[in-house]
Amino acid sequence: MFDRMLPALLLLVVPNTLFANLQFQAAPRTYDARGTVVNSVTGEAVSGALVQLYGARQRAMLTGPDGKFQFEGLPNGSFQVSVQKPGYFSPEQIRRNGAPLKLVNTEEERPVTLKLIPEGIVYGRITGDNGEPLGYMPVQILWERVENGKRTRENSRNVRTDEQGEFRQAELQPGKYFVFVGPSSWPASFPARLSQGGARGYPGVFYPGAPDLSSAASVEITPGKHAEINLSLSSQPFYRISGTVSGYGPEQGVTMQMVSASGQPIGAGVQFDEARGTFRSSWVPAGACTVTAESQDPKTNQQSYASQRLNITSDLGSVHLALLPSAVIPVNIRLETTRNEPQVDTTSYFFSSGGRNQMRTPQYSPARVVLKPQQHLFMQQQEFSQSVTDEDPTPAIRNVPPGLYSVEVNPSGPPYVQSARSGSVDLLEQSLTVAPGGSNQPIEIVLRDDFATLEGSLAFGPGSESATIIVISANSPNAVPQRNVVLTNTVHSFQIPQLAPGEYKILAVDNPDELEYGNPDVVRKYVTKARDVSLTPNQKAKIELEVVHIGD
Amino acid sequence: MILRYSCAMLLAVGLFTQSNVKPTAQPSAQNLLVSGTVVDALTSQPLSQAQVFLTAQGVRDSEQFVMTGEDGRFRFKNLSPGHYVLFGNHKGYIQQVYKQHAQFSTAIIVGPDLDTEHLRFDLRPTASISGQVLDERNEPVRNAQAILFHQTIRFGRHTTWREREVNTDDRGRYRLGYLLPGVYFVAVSAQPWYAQRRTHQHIQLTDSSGQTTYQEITNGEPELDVVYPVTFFSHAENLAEAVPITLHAGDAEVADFSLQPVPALHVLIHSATSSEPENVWAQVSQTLSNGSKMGVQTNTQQIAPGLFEISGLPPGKLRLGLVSSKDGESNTRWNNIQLAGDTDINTSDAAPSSSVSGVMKFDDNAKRTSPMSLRLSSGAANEEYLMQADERGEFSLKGSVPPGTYDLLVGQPPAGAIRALSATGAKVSGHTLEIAAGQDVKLSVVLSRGTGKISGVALKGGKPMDGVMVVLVPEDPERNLELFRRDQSDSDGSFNLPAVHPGKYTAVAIENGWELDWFTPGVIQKYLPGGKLVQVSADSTQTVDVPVQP
Repeated sequence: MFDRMLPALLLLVVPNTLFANLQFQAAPRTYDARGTVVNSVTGEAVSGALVQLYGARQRAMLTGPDGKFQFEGLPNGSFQVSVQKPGYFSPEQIRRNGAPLKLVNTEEERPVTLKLIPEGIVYGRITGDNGEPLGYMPVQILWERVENGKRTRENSRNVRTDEQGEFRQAELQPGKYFVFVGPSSWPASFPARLSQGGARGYPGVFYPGAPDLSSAASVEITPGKHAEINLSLSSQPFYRISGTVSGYGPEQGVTMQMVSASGQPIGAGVQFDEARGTFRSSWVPAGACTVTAESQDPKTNQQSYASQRLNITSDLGSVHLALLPSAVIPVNIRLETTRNEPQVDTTSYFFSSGGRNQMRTPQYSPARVVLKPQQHLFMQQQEFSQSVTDEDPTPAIRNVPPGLYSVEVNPSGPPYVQSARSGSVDLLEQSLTVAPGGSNQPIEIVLRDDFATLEGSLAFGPGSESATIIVISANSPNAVPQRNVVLTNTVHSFQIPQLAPGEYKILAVDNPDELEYGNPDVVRKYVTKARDVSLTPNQKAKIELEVVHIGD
Repeated sequence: MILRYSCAMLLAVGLFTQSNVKPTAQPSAQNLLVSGTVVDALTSQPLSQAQVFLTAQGVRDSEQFVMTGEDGRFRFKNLSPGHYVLFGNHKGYIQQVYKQHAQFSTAIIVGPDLDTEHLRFDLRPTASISGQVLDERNEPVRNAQAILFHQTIRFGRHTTWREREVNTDDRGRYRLGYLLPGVYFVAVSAQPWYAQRRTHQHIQLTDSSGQTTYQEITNGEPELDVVYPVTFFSHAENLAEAVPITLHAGDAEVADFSLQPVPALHVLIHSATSSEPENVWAQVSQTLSNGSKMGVQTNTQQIAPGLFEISGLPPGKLRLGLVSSKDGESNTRWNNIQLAGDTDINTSDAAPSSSVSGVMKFDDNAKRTSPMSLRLSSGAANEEYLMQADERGEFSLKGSVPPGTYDLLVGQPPAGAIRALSATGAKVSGHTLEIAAGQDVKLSVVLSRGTGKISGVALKGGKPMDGVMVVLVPEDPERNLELFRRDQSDSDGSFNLPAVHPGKYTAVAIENGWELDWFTPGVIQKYLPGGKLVQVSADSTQTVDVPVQP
């Protein structure tokens, strides 16, 4: 009994008198929290679900056969509760970004109903030319959704068909999916002489048999839906690529890979002959692809990289890849301080994002710079980042393969990014082109601390339960709008600290998960309802906003 | 012949583009044949639609392909004399090289006086084990790990080898397909998805006289603080009590599991240095079979100065590595415990680790061509530590080796063999080291290089015989695993044993040798009188014909 009333204290010195009080006090009245867990689709009770209640002490229990739970011995008040069970999503998992947990009030003694949303499943069978099951075929399930205001496609775990050609992917949230199958990593039939053409294999296709995403059919997954996807594939000619690689040292190995236009590794490998500098791929389907070669000097750790885009319509010989050292991009950060806050000496102290003062140590980094490569459909490519610290006299992002990158600067603490440039390229608006092999121009970043603060009040319309404030920069139209404070309709004011001075459009919406606010065409519909704000350095501005309802 | 790649690799790249092997086939085509029949190994029925590949070893672009007809026959024409690799593949059968036994197979030697036209290529149907894992509520357990053990011969001894793992799907189902016939065991490792660890806290109470006492507080619900012990099919706690699953070619066996939770156990660690800021965490493992241990997911939490709690432990025999870090230095102490209930441990009772360092060199003093490594292997404790030598031959393992008896082995056996071993800080006997708790060890290792070659023909009744296991047995075989060499005779009965270290050997040829645990003491001895003695010196090449024994 009594241990349940003690708050979760860890290594705290409790005065003896207080403890004695707790011990000898007459037990105060306790309350219960109870409720039922139900399947959001069928309304049926869900047994064996884990319900957790967050109080001074965290409590947990499994629901009984009737889906009911009851926590006893609680003080009066409101407690957050969550529920989970394999095969289901909780409402918080489905509504991202700040959906609040359900509250249960013990004083009211009213049971709560907690909903679990059943998962979606995609399963099926892949067959070949003669109806035979195709085993070991890669199957990718793409989830198209809006995240952070942008339409994105997220790749589920890669699965492969089993010996019976069957695949299965569970744990799908409700939404729109695309199914991509193949290509087979190995041909289905071979020519009499393997060095000559004539091998056939199965190409990669989108359900229901489309060569690309634009002509593919989506699969709508509603809660609890089990979608059967069967595909019958037709074999096509497969081809081999061979050629040479140059630019690697005597003790250096070379790793080679074939990647499809959508970023999927294809084929069963590339054989590289170190002594001769020659390579030959295994069989791959026709179409656009990239062959890459990577090497690392074991002594200096300097990486080299080469890639060649190919459009394969026949066997290709004499493809040449010349390895060039990967780029080293110096990063220079200048912090312009204007504030003389009491107790804050910007040379030795800095305030952290939590608002507290933080000692400025040699490890202190004013910003982290991230290079994000162009996204492929199927491959999360490596990002390159560097925290610029006082310890590193020549901060640089190293071993970056050539390509097109978007640059993200994440300041630690309140300063905002005033500018980020590479030569004449404004990196806040444009992509960075990393050239092969060459030395690259430094990334020059200016941070300032003369940020402005925006305060305001909100007017909720009927049916709007919560609001999210979206900040659209009017100075840099290509910058992705930022979503900011999330509020429920019981709160009517907001504050956005640390905004860079400039022109903004501020919009409050009630359903940001559905709004592709990173897309200017989508935002245009609502932008008339946004408020224009001009912020000067160190200004504290005030506005009034109406919460815009995002329609179905 | 010895295959350079695993079967999957052969299919991927190895077989068809082995370009750095010396060409053995003559460039000019002659009218020689390789032909035969692909049959089901069990029924001897011909297999149609089988894919058969033929590659002249070391000849670029020599790969050929045929599909068998209704009669299971295949035929490659217009071949030149040379060594050929024959590879077969059929849906529902194990893909393999001709007469393949693990990394050995029989190469087809094509020549004017050799019969390569009546080959019988046996393919074995694949077998599978599948099943469903349910929990105590009869609900499927997702992401449970089904672990497959195969009773087989490895390094010449019978072992139960952990072969692979698969995870269960949302229905709790798993499938281990593409299995060779043999004896298997399956175990399931999973955590209850709802498990919540109880935690304990010590609250310091100081009364008015300055007296300090501790009050213990427990958080969490005991009924949710549970684990599933690793369960062997069916309902067994360990491999010894597990039911073997015998797979014949083509079998599809079912092994279902029903997991029952047991209370998770807690261990309190009392650190010797309670006053200093110290962080302790536990690395817990449990032995599943000889040569296979598994990490156990646990939490470690400090509950008072110098007092740490490990939670989430299953009952049974566990090995605890207590890693304590202080001022950036970490140190591991070891404890083997048999857990039946919650218990307390003092870190001072756990055995401290040793550092092992040393230097290795070759007896010919020549420069090494590739990086070398040594392995410290403890069969009893199921531990193995790899020591990678640098350019100067120096290696070092800092503060992480538990006390025990270890065999010192060469990381890449054909590249070198241990000729001499001496140590300070440890007792040495042959290649075996006895390392005491906390005692640092310095090793001096002399390696020899295998530069001798032996080739010959396996003869039965004076006639060459293919598919025979040829074993080169060193003197004092029980202590010299690294000096053994093996091969399989090719279609003309010939064999090759490369990288042989200088010394005295007996070469034996055994007709049905592939099931033989040749490194088990006493097993190979009875074949020695029927073998041929060979004396090998550095860089020598010898030819020996060896009589085949049954």
